[in-house]
Amino acid sequence: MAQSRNDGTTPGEQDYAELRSLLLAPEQTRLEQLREQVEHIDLNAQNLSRVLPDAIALRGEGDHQLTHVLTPHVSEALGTSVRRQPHLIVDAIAPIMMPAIRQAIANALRSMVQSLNQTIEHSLSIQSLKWRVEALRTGKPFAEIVLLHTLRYRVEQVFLIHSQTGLLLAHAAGDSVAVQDQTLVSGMLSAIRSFVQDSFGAAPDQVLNTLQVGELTVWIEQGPAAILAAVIRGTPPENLRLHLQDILTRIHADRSEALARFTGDAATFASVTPLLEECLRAQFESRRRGIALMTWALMVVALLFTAWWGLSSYQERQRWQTYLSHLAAEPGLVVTNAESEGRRYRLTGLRDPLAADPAALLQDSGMDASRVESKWQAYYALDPTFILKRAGFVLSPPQTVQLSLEGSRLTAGGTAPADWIRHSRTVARALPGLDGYDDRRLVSCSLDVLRQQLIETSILFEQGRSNLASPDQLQDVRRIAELLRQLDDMARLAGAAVSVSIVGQTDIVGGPSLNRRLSESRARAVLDAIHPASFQALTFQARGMTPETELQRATPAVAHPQHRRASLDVTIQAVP
Amino acid sequence: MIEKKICMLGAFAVGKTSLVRRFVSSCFSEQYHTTIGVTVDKRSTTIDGTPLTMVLWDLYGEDEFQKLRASYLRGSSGYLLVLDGMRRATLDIALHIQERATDTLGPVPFVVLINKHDRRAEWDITEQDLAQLTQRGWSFVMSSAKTGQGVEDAFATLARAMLAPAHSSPTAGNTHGS
Repeated sequence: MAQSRNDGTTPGEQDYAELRSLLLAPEQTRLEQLREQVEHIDLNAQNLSRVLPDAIALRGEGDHQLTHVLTPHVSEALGTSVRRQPHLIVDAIAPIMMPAIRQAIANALRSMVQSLNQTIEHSLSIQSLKWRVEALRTGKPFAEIVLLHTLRYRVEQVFLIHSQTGLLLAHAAGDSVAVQDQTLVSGMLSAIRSFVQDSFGAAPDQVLNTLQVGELTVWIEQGPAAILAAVIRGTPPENLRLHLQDILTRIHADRSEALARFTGDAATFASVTPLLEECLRAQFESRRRGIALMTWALMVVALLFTAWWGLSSYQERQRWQTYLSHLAAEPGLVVTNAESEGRRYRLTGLRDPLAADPAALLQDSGMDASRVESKWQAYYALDPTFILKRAGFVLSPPQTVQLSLEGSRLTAGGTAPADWIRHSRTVARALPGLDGYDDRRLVSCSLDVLRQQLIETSILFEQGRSNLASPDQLQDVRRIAELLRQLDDMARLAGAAVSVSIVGQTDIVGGPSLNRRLSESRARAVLDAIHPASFQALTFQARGMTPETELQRATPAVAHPQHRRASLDVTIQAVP
Repeated sequence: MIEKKICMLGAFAVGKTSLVRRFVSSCFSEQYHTTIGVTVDKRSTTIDGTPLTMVLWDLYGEDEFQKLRASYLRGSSGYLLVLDGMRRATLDIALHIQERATDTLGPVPFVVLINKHDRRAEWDITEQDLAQLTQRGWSFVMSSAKTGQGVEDAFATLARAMLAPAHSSPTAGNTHGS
């Protein structure tokens, strides 16, 4: 207090300062410290180390300048480190790189492995047969032989061995596996690897990774600090090696420190035993699958054969039925018996000679003709179609004749020569299936045609003459005589009474009496020329016709040469 | 259980395999079998209360045809260097082998056995030679695989040296016999 007064301060000011000191002493002290730091800021290593991480983080957020500045230095440092201590980098990146490399290789090999598997599977069926032979030969049950052979692989033991010392780090074995002294085995495995590598001058990176003794295979996977050896019975798949590599990589990743500092105490690796036990895999060939392949193949073949046989039989049966139905529908063919024995067919029946050819029908049906034995006996089919067809075939009528069937009577129409009419009457009676033959229309029509032809015929004369001397007149006479012969023939067939009137005519030249005589003379000349006595069924008369009464009105005052003629008039009277 | 790899080194026919058989199986055979490559054997024991398994790599003996390969040595925690007392030349080979082993393994413990002590009268190695070894700072054990003399001691001495926290000296053991 005395000191305060000596400073020239009033008691009130001192009290105020004391009060302020009492109230704000901690803050004042802190302010003093901060002022001291600000005034004496010093970037020494200690201070810098405190703020450096934050400073780098802060600077890095702004832009990429920090990266640009540091990149060359970091690269150089990394390069130097790799050159000086390559094993550190190898050890560090091996756990990362190995799975990636293996994955890539695995993908590349997968397709090849698949085709290989198929090949192996195909060979199984033959192997299965071999096993059966072996079972017969050895007297063992087939199931036992299969069991012996179908063990594809089994990992019996797994050793984790320290690379440097050859000492055992961990071991796992399957159930009922005879285990030798693991320490010695791991030591000898290491020794053998060294022995092989040294003896054959292999490069340091070329190590022994497979041992084969009978059915046993030892796969050895090399890691940076430890090796994994798997004792496998049978033929392991390639992916097992990948699995072993994965396990080894995981052990290295998890226990890298322990591996690096291993001094012989394996107890520290007890925890990896479960990982090793994951490697104790076994795989059996599927017996069912192996046999099924063969069985399936046989079944498929049998099914295909049965299906083919069934389908072929069904189709043949269908064709046979179709053939029979076609035969039944075909007129003039009657199947009396049809039977089959296996794939042989027998057929007997009746066949009208005018019916369709059964052999052609058989060919159309698609049947194998060599499997069908047919016996056909000839017969006359009596259905109308065949009767008419047969009549046409037997009678061979000229084109001017139309045959038809009315009930069971055959009727002929049109025109035909008398000879044919006479012949048809004889033959038609012998045709089977006919109750009668009616050719009245045919005869009547034929008579009319002959009558018409005779009516339209005439013989011209020279003026004032009545003799028949010119070649044309003689030609006409012969033609008329032939028509009369046919008419006579036809009249006898028809039983009709036919009278032929020969009418002589003249032109208007000359007197009526002269013309009358001349016309009568011309009629008689023609009558004489045709020899009427030779026509038994015909009656003749000759008469003259004067032009005054009949022709003068038609052609008055004209002497036409066509009026100097003789013409015929035919009258047919049917005899009841 | 701690395991240690131990190599048996020495010239050919000095008795390395016989010493291992004596140590592991307590038996001896007069018949000589040459070792091709390496044979691995083991014996579990307790050294000063610490259980220990010694994995013994019995390497083929070195001669003018077969030189010691470093790959077998690698990882050894110690080794036994065996001489044949009846052949002076095995001493020179042992000196050479020791240099090779040191190059490969570094300063790991080793014990020198001068074998076939049961036929001491026929020895070719002289006291002068032994003095020379002592001068090198090496400890050695007079041993006989036939009688078992010095065998247990030699392995026990090496085991103790290997289990010691740090190897202060390249050699271990004391002089026994004579």
